[in-house]
Amino acid sequence: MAPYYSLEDVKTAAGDDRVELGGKNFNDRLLPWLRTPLAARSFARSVLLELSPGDYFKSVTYGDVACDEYGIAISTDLQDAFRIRGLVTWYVKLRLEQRRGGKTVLLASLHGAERDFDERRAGGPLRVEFELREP
Amino acid sequence: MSQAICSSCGKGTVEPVQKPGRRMRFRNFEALELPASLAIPTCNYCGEEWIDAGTTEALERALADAATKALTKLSEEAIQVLSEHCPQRDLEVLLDLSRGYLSKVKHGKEKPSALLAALLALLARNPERRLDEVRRFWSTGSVGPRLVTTSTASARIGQDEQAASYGY
Repeated sequence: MAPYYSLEDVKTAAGDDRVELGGKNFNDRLLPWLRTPLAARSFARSVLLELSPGDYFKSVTYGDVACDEYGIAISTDLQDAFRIRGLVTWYVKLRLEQRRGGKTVLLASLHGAERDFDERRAGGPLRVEFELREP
Repeated sequence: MSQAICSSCGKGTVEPVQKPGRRMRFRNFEALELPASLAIPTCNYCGEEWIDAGTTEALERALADAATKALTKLSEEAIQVLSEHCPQRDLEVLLDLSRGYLSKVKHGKEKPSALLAALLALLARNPERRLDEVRRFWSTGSVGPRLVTTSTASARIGQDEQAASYGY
C-alpha cells in the first residue's frame, strides 16, 4: 500500500510553511513539550521534513477526507534542537489540500506515539521510545 | 485561506471564529485566556481549530501578552503584601535587584520574569518567615534544614536541631 499523498509535495509545503495544525492536538499534545505556538509549529514543520517513505504506516478515510499516517523516529539533532531528547517516536496524520498558494499540509495529528508501529509500517516495525532524557 | 472540509472530522467546514473563553497552554502556564477578538479557523461541526502560520503568530503575541499580564498581576500582589513586612528598597537589596526595579514592576514599566514572580509570590505566602530564610541563605550560603514530609498533619523536619532555630 502506498501513501495517498506525495511525500515530496508534503515536504515542499512544509518547507514553504504551508502547514496547518489541528488545535486540540496542538494544545494538548504538542505545547506541553514545545511550550509556545511558534516552537510547536517549527517542530511540526521539522518533523514533516524528516519524514521518509519508510515511515509511512497506512492511510485512512472518513467522509470525503483521506489521511496518511506515519510513524517516525526523529533524529537526535531534531530532539536536541527542541530540547526534547528522548521523545523519539512520533505519530503523524496528515492530508494535503490544494490552495491558491499551492498545496498545504493539514496536520490532523502530531503527537508522541502511544503504541508500537507494526509490520504495516513501510520501513518495518517501530517500537515506542518516548521518555524525556537529559541530553 | 481556511480549508473547505475539516481534516479532523471530514464533515464540517472551517471558518475563522472569534469568541471568548478559549484557553491555551503557554510556557509555564497551563492555560491562558485568548482574546475574544482573535480569529481562529474552526470547524463548524467538531469544533477543531486549525492553526495556520498567521494564526500561530497571532497566538504567540496574544499568549505572550497574557503571560506578561498574569506575571505582572501576581508580582504586584506579592509586592503589596511584602511591602507591609519589608521596605521595598530592602527587598530589592535582599534579592539583588536594582534600585527602583520593584516599583517599575508594580507600575507595569518592567516585565517580571516567571522566576521573579514565583519568588515574590512564595515570599508573600509567609513574609516574615521566608524573608528571614532568604537573609539566612545569604549569610550561611546554605539551604539549611528541609521538610522531608509535606503532610499538613505531620510535617517533619530533616534536621531537628537546626529546625528548632527556624521556628517550624
